[in-house]
Amino acid sequence: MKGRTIVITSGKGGVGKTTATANIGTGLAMRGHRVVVIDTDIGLRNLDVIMGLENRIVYDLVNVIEGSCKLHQAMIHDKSKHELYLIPAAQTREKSCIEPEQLRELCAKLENEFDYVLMDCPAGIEQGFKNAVAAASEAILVTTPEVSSIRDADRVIGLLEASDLHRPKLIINRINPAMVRQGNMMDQRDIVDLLAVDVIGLVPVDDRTITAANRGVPVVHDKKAPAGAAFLRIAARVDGDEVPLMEMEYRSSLMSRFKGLVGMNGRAYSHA
Amino acid sequence: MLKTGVVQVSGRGTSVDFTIDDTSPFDEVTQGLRRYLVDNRGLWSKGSITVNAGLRIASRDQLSQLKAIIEKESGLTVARFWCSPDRLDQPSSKEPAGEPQGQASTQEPEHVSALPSETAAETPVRPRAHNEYTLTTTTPVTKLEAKPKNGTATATSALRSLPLIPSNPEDAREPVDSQLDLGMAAHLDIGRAPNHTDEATDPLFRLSGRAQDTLDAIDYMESRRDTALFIKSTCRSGEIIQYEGDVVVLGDVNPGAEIIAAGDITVFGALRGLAHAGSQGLTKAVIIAYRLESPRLEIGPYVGVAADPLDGERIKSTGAGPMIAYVRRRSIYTAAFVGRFAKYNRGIQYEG
Repeated sequence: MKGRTIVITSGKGGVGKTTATANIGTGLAMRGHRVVVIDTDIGLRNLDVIMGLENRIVYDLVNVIEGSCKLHQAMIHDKSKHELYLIPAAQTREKSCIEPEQLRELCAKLENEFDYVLMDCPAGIEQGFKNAVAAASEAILVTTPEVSSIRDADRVIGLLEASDLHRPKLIINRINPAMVRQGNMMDQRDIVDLLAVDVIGLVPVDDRTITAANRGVPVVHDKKAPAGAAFLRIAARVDGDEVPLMEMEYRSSLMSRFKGLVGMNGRAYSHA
Repeated sequence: MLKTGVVQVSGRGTSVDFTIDDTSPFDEVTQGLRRYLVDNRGLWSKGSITVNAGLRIASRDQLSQLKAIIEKESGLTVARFWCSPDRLDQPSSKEPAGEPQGQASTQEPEHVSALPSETAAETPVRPRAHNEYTLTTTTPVTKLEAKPKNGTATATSALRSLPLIPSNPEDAREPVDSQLDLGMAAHLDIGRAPNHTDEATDPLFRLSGRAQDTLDAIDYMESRRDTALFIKSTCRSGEIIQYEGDVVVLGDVNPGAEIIAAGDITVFGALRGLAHAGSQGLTKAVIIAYRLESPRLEIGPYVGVAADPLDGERIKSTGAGPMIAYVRRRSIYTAAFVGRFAKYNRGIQYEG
């Protein structure tokens, strides 16, 4: 069976595309799939750092596309010993040095061998974005609950639809439950209302995401971390499992917990 | 669905659609059609049918030819033709111009969108007309006369007056000499499927009065050149929609999107982007939105800027429910949309 090529994109930078790619890729591999993640952010590679594989890079995506190495020479096996491979981006080149068609060919080749081909898309909507989007057949959109990132996401959805990637799935990253509770952060309903796409997962803000990235071990390995658990559920949903968006109320204090028990807590936020 | 190459026939309830392939040459169509009808002679009883000519069209002569073939070979009566309005040979001749197309949903999207504005932009009025038509068994014309005329247009000056010019019931009831003319009325009962098979003549008779009205309406619209663009999805940031006619958006118009229409703009969702109605100077154009949250509206040469929202607040719709924006005293005003012919005099100025 042919694999699926999924691009993970956002428009705005710094919303967690790379983190999401590393974690969903790892999550899918943990579920027993053969996964390859491609860093298409040529010139600004960092997927390898998040995955802790930067020391093993010998060949990169541009080498593969230019034919100066074999495909398998550029694929780095993940430390976790799952069937997870990384094709890193070139750091010393530019995005314009590959063509959408070349990346599409590469992905078509990889689809025959892997269950999932995940592409980490660069920020912006220029050449790098066009390359990654042309090669993909599905898209996952990452946004944070901030107006700027939502505006960019809206634009990106328009561009994705223009290149025949309809109904991208949305990940809302870095939700701060406390702030949502106080009404200081956009609630997922507001975001979905504006973007009109399906949500595939909600990821709470979690310090362990950062420490995990620094250590080079995706947070999805840490079962106790809320963000890790969220990414694992997203991986399950990508895989086709029906995992309901988890009903989790954003409570902290004893008082509100009590109110929740007696049903005075007002709205409960669904959360996954 | 039965298939014979160039001609496809599908039946739904009591209505039968003849769909004629768009690409094959006309004589091939006529031959195919004749062969099909002869082969299946047993299938047809008396009744009236719709012929869906798709994007082809076709002069009136050709349509008459088709009609003659169908009527001769099958005993059916052709009540109407459907076709795409912008493929008609010459819009200046008033008969086949602007015929609404029903089948085009299987065609290119542009043509789907190209419904005459009458159906799309003036929805508040249309459904009532439909009902009147189906409920009335004899003379719908008298009822239509109740519609505002040009003389009473002051009441509707904020809006374009409905281009239904009431005709003399006598004239209107005269059967129109060529039944092709009845095509005008085709969209009136899409999905309703009046019982054609039972009464072969009666529906035709009823249609004729209405058809005359519709002809006048189309004539009027033809002079305005307005057809509507129908957008079923959400308009997203960065998209610009420019159209010489009315624009109807079924989804939202998100911040950063622009809609520029020579006619009216109707948004069934939230309008949060820029909207410019009457872009070629038509100050009678209006903007109607279910939620009017746009930071800037333009109608003709006039610009309205939403009042600065309070700190940290987003622009909220100035009222609950659908809103209409119109030009009055060289400014843009908004009011709750309460119908096509309501007076809009007490609106709130859309200006900071």
